[in-house]
Amino acid sequence: MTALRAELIKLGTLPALRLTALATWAATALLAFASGAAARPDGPAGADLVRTPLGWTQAGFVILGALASASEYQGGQICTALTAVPRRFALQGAKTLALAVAAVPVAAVAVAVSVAVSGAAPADVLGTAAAATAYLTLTTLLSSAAATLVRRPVPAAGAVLGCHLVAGPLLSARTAYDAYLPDTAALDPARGTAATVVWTLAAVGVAAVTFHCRDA
Amino acid sequence: MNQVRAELRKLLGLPSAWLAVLLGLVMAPAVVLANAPYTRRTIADGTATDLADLGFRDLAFGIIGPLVLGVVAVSSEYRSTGEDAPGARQLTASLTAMPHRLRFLAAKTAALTLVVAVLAAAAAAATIAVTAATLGDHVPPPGAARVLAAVLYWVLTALLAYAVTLIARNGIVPLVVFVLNSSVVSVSYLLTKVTDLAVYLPDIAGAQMFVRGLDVPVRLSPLTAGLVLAAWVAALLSVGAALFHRRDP
Repeated sequence: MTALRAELIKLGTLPALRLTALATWAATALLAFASGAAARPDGPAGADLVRTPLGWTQAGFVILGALASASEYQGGQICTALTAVPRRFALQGAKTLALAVAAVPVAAVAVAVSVAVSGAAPADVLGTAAAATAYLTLTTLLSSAAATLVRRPVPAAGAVLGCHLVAGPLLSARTAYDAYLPDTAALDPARGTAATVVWTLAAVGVAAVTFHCRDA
Repeated sequence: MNQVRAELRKLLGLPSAWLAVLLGLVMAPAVVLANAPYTRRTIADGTATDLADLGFRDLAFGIIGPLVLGVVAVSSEYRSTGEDAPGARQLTASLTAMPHRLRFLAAKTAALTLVVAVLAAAAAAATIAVTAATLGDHVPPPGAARVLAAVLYWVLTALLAYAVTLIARNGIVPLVVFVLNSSVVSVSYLLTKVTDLAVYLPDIAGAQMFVRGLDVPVRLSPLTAGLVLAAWVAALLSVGAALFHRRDP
């Protein structure tokens, strides 16, 4: 419990995370406005219009996760953290939980911004909003697991972004594997949610085991 | 000359630069291969729009390679060198060796241009070869001017990412903006649906240097497109150079 609170304080005091959250919300508002203006009357409506801008601004959540984990490895902060909480699984668990707790409100605000700007009736898109919030939170955790593995923010964010925004859409456009990709749920929650959950759990698991076995 | 060689060795000593080279080389031919059955079907039933665009259109996917190269060429200088010394940066050592800042920047730019030009030529050759091998005689032979334009597009895009990183002094922001914008449905493309002015954004203008059948509200001629992209690069690079000249390292 104390470890969780400590991790939450660490996350709350990183200026980079605050900046990222603010930039993500602003970008969501702009992109929601642009995609609303670009949509034809016969084009996507309601739930799709809410999801479209989040398909891009999930990048903000990838960065959030990558920065949150990798910040521990700048200046050897991880050694201090391990001195305070020597049990590694406990520390990694507290970190993951704290990041999830911090990511949910950020995701919820981003989704709310998208709903508000797109002009959809909130009652109609409640399910979509909940699914999108969950997806964005899981994406944050996935990216944070990747950053724990490589211990640097740029390669981790680059790899996850490349998978989610370039490789994923290319693969799902041309092949039938889209139900197995972690990013499908961004635009098609009915098909991709299971894959997102499995990928995230696997990544978090691998990150925890690596953290347990590796020199700090 | 010595300085360019030093910058080349620094750039090619980065693991992420090699990853970028690999991505740039493999991405476009892989997309051509993956698309081949679909493309063959569209040619067979006559719905393919512009056969001369085949291969070139896919070349745009490899652009992630030059983007990453442009970003890491600068961001590696600003990254802290070790966990135990977060304040120490490679840039301090670089500027000790080359105190004249603009000359240092010129050497870095030349090294990046050289690497990306070679990478672009190789990627274009590979993509054209794979297109010819998979689609055979459906595809007209590519014009030399178009290949040259594609290489130029890669080089200019790398310089654009380089200039933005120089301004931001941090790899994450430019990397995210550019990867986001090179995603399958790019933000700039969305903006072309909102305002016609968006065709002058660097990536939409740049692609028109060598792709004809782009679905945009205003068509630019390849030459105009090239000039628009070059103007973006020149403007951002001057801002970056001016800041680099005046700022504390």
